[in-house]
Amino acid sequence: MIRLFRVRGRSMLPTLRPGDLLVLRRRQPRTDDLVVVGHPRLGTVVKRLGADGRLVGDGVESSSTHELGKLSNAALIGVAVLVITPSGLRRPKALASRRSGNRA
Amino acid sequence: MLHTLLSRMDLPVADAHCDIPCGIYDARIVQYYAVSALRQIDILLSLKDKGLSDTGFAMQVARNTAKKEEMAEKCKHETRVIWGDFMKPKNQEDMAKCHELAHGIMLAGSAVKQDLHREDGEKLVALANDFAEVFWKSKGVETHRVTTPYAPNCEVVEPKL
Repeated sequence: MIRLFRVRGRSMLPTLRPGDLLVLRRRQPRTDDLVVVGHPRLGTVVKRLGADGRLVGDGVESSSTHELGKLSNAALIGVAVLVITPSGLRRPKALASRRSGNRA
Repeated sequence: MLHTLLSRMDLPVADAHCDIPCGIYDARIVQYYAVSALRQIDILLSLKDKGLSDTGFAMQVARNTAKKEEMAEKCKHETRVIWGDFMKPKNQEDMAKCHELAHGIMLAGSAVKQDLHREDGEKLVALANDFAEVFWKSKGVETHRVTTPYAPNCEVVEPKL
């Protein structure tokens, strides 16, 4: 099933900008996928699935990985397969020099 | 085109939390930049009476114009951050007012950048004040209006902290 979500906030910059739209598919997520999850404390959030199932943000302002926890602690809503931006469509791509670990 | 079309739909939101998390949002920064933009307008309008040389005049106009545009743009930026990241629709009436004010600040900020009319700067400050009132109300903080003790000596909304 396909679902549409609107991005709010800046923690996924430069990958996602506020106002971008995400097309989600319900499938098994893989490392580096952009996932939308129902987080027990933070609500519905979009993050990247890091190694070991950890949720990480792409932007410097994102919550720490420690705070976000692992995907297994949150309910997967879907995996982003397409990003609809004001300038067109694109696939969610991995950041070339993405940081890892805590980023508080 | 597709984005514009779909953006009109009432879609669910996925938060890309801007959360170190600091949770520090303060509408006074919007007012700070609005007042600064108005100050730059006043300076620009007074330059021709300063007896500057042609070169000095041109240089001063260039500097203050650049600063005027920077202040107006920062005012717009900080409004977008508070509007997009902080404001939550707890109260539909306040939220509608917030949308209207944020949009008004975008337009007034652009008007300040595009031309040199004091009333544009005054409008930007007035909208920033109204935006601040909605912001503080959402936090349950009372406000009052005071006059800045520095030029342009205009009225600003201050929280009673």
